[in-house]
Order: sequence, then structure tokens, then C-alpha cells
Amino acid sequence: MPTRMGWNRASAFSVALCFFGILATVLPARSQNAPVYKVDPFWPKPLPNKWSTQQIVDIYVDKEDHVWVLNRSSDARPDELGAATTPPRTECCVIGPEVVEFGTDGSVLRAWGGKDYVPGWPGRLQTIGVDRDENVWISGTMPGDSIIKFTKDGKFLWDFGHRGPKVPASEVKQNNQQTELFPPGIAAFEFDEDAREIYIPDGFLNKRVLVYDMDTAAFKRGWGGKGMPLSEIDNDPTPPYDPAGPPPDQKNFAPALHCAHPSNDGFVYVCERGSDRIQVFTKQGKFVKQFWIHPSTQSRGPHCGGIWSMTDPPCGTIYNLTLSTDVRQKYILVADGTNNMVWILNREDGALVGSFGGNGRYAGQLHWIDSIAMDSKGNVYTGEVEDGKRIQKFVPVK
Amino acid sequence: MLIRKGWNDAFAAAVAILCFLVLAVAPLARAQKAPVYEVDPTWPKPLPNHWLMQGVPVMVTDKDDHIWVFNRPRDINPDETGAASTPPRTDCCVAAPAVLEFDTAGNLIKGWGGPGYVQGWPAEGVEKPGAGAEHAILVDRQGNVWLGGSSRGDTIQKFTGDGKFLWEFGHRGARPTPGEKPAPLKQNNQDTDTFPGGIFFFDLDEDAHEMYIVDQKRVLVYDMDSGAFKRGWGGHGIPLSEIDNDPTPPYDWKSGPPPDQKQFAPALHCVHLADDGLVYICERGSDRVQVFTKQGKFVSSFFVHPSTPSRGPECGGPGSTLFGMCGTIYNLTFSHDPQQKYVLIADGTNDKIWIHDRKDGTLAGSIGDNGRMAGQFHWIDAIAMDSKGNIYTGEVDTGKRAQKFVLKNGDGKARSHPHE
Repeated sequence: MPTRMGWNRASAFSVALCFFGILATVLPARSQNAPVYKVDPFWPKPLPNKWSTQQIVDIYVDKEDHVWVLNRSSDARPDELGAATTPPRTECCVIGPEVVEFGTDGSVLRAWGGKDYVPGWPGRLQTIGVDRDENVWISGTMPGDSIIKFTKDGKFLWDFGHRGPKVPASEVKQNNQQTELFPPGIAAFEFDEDAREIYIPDGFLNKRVLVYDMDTAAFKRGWGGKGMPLSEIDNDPTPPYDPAGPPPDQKNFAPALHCAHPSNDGFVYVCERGSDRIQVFTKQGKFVKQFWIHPSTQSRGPHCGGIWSMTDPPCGTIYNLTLSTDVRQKYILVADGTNNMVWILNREDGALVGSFGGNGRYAGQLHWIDSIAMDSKGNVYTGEVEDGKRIQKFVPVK
Repeated sequence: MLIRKGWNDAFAAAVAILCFLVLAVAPLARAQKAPVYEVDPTWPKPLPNHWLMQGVPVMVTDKDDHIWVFNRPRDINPDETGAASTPPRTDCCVAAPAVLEFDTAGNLIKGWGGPGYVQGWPAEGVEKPGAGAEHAILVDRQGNVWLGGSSRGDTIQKFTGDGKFLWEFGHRGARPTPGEKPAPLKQNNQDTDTFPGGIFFFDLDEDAHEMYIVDQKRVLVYDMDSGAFKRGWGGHGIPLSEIDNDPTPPYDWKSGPPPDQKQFAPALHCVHLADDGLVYICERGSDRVQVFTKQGKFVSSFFVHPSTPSRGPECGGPGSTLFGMCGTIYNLTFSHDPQQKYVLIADGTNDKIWIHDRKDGTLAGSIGDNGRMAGQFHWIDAIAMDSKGNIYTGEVDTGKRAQKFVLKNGDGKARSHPHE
């Protein structure tokens, strides 16, 4: 047995050497400017304990390069949960924890949370963030949902509050002036830890970006599309447009707003899915510039289907974005769940410099990509919703 | 640049040699009995023309080791077909042709067929037929392609490899009137003239010029040239006259495996002839494989993971939000060695391939699990094997892919045919 073990180690070492050799050979031969990525089809490792991989609605890479995902269980189907019955109907699977931390090798380090884990656990998870102190923040999009803060081991720490009433979503009305409550829930958020602020794009129904103190939850400031003051935002439905051309350059934000990410150099990038557009602001809310993302794709209006629609495809090209992790954050990587592409733009001028993905079920293809994040080594992680239900890793090859 | 290129080539060659050595050495360290497979996540190559593969109910390999995938174009959903509108809503995709021929490297050789391709194509005139559509495919020694449909009024049609219509089997039942909900089909296990529900699965015995079809609670054999009926039998080999036309009684799956009943329990999900002349029937409604002689004499049977409910009221279909599916035997194939030592069973309920010893039916191994990653399955429904022992699988519901699994020398002995 020791001999065999030795053989295996030797083999593994040879394989590693071989792999390294191939990489070393391929890399110098390329000379493109844009980064190029290749899927790692074997990341992550299969989940333990027969946990089912569900909709990976958001991903956050922490300072240790650990990958935190929301494994949203609310759309699990019986054909995926056969091991949850007594006796089990099938070999696999059961609903696993909704917060999962992966190490860089793709194994699970921590996993916790789920329905009724603590009072106020989101009814429909949407966003996760991990701060410098390794606390984990999560939010959801059901009326009555807010942001909750936990230790990395899942101990409850703090509730952001500002919860609206638990009512059917159809009863929630637009109100872009009040800043006390988030009646539709909180779809997305991001920290500015130097300023101890939290940015919330309140835009699944409303049309604004709001900034709160991340310790006291006190409201600080907010603005609408193109930086207009909150008082000037209308509370009307966004008009449709003729999708034969690109979306109009309208002043009010067009919901849904899908993200707000501050950059290292002090700008805030807002995903305006309803206009196929990224708007860039200063942290004080002054409009700086905008980029259109594949605007031939219909961004809103009639004939826009949600997940599980059997009649209409989805609309909009900006489901989320991440800024590249080089010091200058040279690139913006946009997750487009309608075209199922990752678009790579120059952050400075918004020029399209690359893309990867493609609609499909194979490793490296995407079905309803909804989340994207990058680690310090430049690896990109993507998450898919609807029945995509995967997290994938893409490795830079240049 | 020239220098670098030369250096690169030399280094690449060295790496290639090293890799070859590693591959040659690594299997020696293993000592398992059952064959070991690894997914090839790069197979097949992306389809051209913005084609997107849809549900794959059946796939086969031909004598040249080409892989023929029968997929259901009308499975496509709005979020997948954005390139079909004018102007296109999204960059991708349109439904791929129904018949796709690949080589072992994953290159698409040909693609043809689909709704309206010829008169009498499966589920003619039905916009969203679901699972009652394109279903069975087979390629004969001459390279002709035989296709079966699983909706009412469907039969088997024969084409050249290039998709030219040659012949049809006939024996069609009535097509439903468009727009009208047809009355439920009544079982009739004594009628051998028509297949009112279509033809889900069939196999050819080309030496005997016979075609085997599974239907209702029986196996039927026809002349593959004339379409004339020859013989048939029911579960455990009972004569057609003794098959009842009643619904199959449910059983309490929580208390034990399905009962060893005499009548077949639908659905019958495959018929395959082994090289030694035995006929293998997938009896999904009993989690069981039944084995017969070509004349219909019962030989043996074995259960496959029978703790899984095989039938009854708590069985969901595609998209069900109430129940998972039932039954463990969606299809099977034999290992590629001359003895066909193993039976490999596609289980779309557990999303596994079960590897059973063909001689005694014992479980020897398994591949895969429920999931969306490379090497996992969502509703595996199709399985085939090439002459090198590579496995090909197809998935339905929202799985919608074909995958390749490469055979490794699992038992530790180096040779070109690891199953031998």
C-alpha cells in the first residue's frame, strides 16, 4: 500500500508539472489586449451531504479570495429533492444551506442559513456581501425583507431595519421620496468601508440610489437617474420604447436597477437593466458618464418574461457587474442574463474589449447568468439562476 | 518569433511526451474492478449557426463510432430562442435540427430534420408537443437512419444518413384533431395492426431482418423490410392473449421494492438486443430489467435501485412542482467488449448511470449525480457507447445536453479494451 500511495503522489506531481508546462507554453504565444478566460469545469467540487445546488443569485469574493455564494432555495423542484423524503425516494438531493463559502480549491469551508434560520431571514435572497471584518451581509427581495449581518460562522449580529410591511408584492407602490422604508425589499447593496457607508440601488420598483451609514443605518443621501435629486424623481411607470432601436437616453432611471458598486477611485457604477445601461456617478451622486451594453437587446416593456416564462424571453443586458481586481480596475465585467454573455469593457471609456459565455448548458456556457465576481488572482466566478443552477469559475489565460 | 516558436514547439513536444507517460502510468495505481469513467467537458464542440441542443430522449452510435443525437426542437423556450426573431432579440439561439451526427472528437458532421421536415414527421402540426414528439433513433449497418415518434399517429420513418426519406413502417394510429383534446387512449395489448400512442422505442435484428418494438405491456416483433407482424409477448413471456388491458396497480414503495408481478408495468422504456441474442427490456414501472430469448422466452430479470418508487400516484413529470419522477430504468446500453460484460443503465430519477454485471445482474458501479455541472445529470434519458468504450448520455426536461464519458482502465490492467 505505501508503494501504491507513493505512485499516486508521483503521478499527481507529474500531472501538475505537465499542466504547468502546458500553461507556460501557451501563455507567451498570445498577444491580445483583452483578457481571455477559460472555464475550469471541475470547480467547485460536488457539494457534500447531498446538498442541491440551487440558483446562485449572488457571489462575493472576500479578502482571503474565498468565494461566498447565495444558494437560493426558493425555486428548488421535487426532482432535485428526492433525498429529503422519508424514506428517501432517490439518492440525491436535499436543500442545503443558503450561504456557502468555498475555498479557492472549490471545497466548502462554511455553510449556514436558510428559511427560518433567524427571524427576518429574507423570503427571496438576492445579494451577499462580506466586509473587511469578515462579517456576512445578506438581503432579499420580498416585501418585508431587509439586510441582515452575521459573523462568517453565521451568528446573527445586526439587522439594517427599514423593513416594509409583509404584503403581496402587487400592493407595493412606487415612492421615490421617502427614505424610511424599503417596501419591495432590498435587491442589492455594496459597502464603502472607508466611509462606513452602504449603497443601495432601490430600483426593482423605485428609481434611485440611496446611501446609508453602515453602522447606524441612518439615511445619508440619495439621487435618481443622471444624478437628479430625490424630490424630482417621478413615481410613474417607466414608458416602453420601440425595441427596433436602442433604449432612449431618458433622465429617470429605468428599473430594474440591478447593482451599485463603488470603485477604488471613488466612482459608483449603477446597473440600469431597464435601459441596457451603466450610469457612473461620484459618491456624492454627480453624474459622470454612461455606457450602453448591447442595446439592441430589448431592455424593458411588454413581452419581457421573468424566470420560468413560457411566453416571453427576459429583457435587459445588465444583471450585475464586477470591476476587475487589478489596482487600476481597468475592466468592467458585465453579467448579461438575457444574451448569457459576460461583456468585458474598458472601465475608462466603456469600449467593448471582449466577452465569454454563450447560451447553453455546457461547461463555460451560461443559462440566466445573474451574478459575477472576481478574486485577487483575476479568476472570474459566475452564478446562474432559473434552471441554470450552477456556479462556474473562469481562469484568465492571458 | 521564429526562435520562440521553435522553443514552444520543442517544449510542447516535451510536455506531450510527459503527459503521455503520466497517462500511461496513472491507471496502474488504481485497483477497482468496475470500469471507471471521466467526463470530457469539451465534448461536443459548440454547435454552429447559433443552434441550441434541446431535450435528448435517445441517442445511438453507428458502425463508424459516429454519435447520433435525436433532440426535440420544440422543447425550446423563449429565453433560448432570441435569435429566431426579426430583428434578433439576442445573440443566440435557434433550435438545432432534430438529428445531429457527431464524431468522437465532438465535431458536428451533419444536422437535419425537424418539425415539418417530411410528411408524417413526429407530432405533426403540434406547436408544443412536450415529450410526445421526436423520440427514438437507430442507425443500421447501411448507415440509414430510423426515427420513431411518441405522439398519437406517429410511427417509424427511415431515411438515408443524409436525411433523404426512404420508407415508413406504417401501422399509424389516428392523429388527434388539431385544437381538440383527444379522449384518453384505451389499452389494447391484443391489437398488432396499429400503434395509437406512437412508437417510443425500437431495435433492429438486422441478421433476421426483424424490428423489436416495446408498446403498452408487451414486446412486438415485425419484419423490418415489409412491416409485417411476426410475434409478440408480455411480461415474463406470457402470450399476447394473456396480457390484461387494465391499469397497473400501485404499490407501497415505502415498504419495499416493486412486487414481482407477471404483467409488465409500464412504461417500457427500451428494447435492446445483446450480441448473444438475448433481448433486454427496460421495465421502468418496476425498476427492473427483464431478459428474454428472441422468441420471447423469459430468461431472467434484475432490479435496479428498487428503493426508488417506480410508479403510482406520487410520480411527477417534467416541470412538476409536486413530485419527483419515478422509475430507475430510462434506457440501457451494453459495454463494448465482445462479451458485453456490463449493462449500463440511464436512471433519470436518481440521475445516475448504474453499471450492472450483465451475467448476474449485480451492481458493479455508478457514474454521475443530480446536478448541472459537467459530469452530473438532470433527467438523463439517453445512453450509448462507442467501440472504444466511451459513454454518451442525453438529458431531457431542462437538462438539454449530450455528454461524453471517457473510459479509463479501472481495474488496473493496461490494455486497449478495459472491459475485456
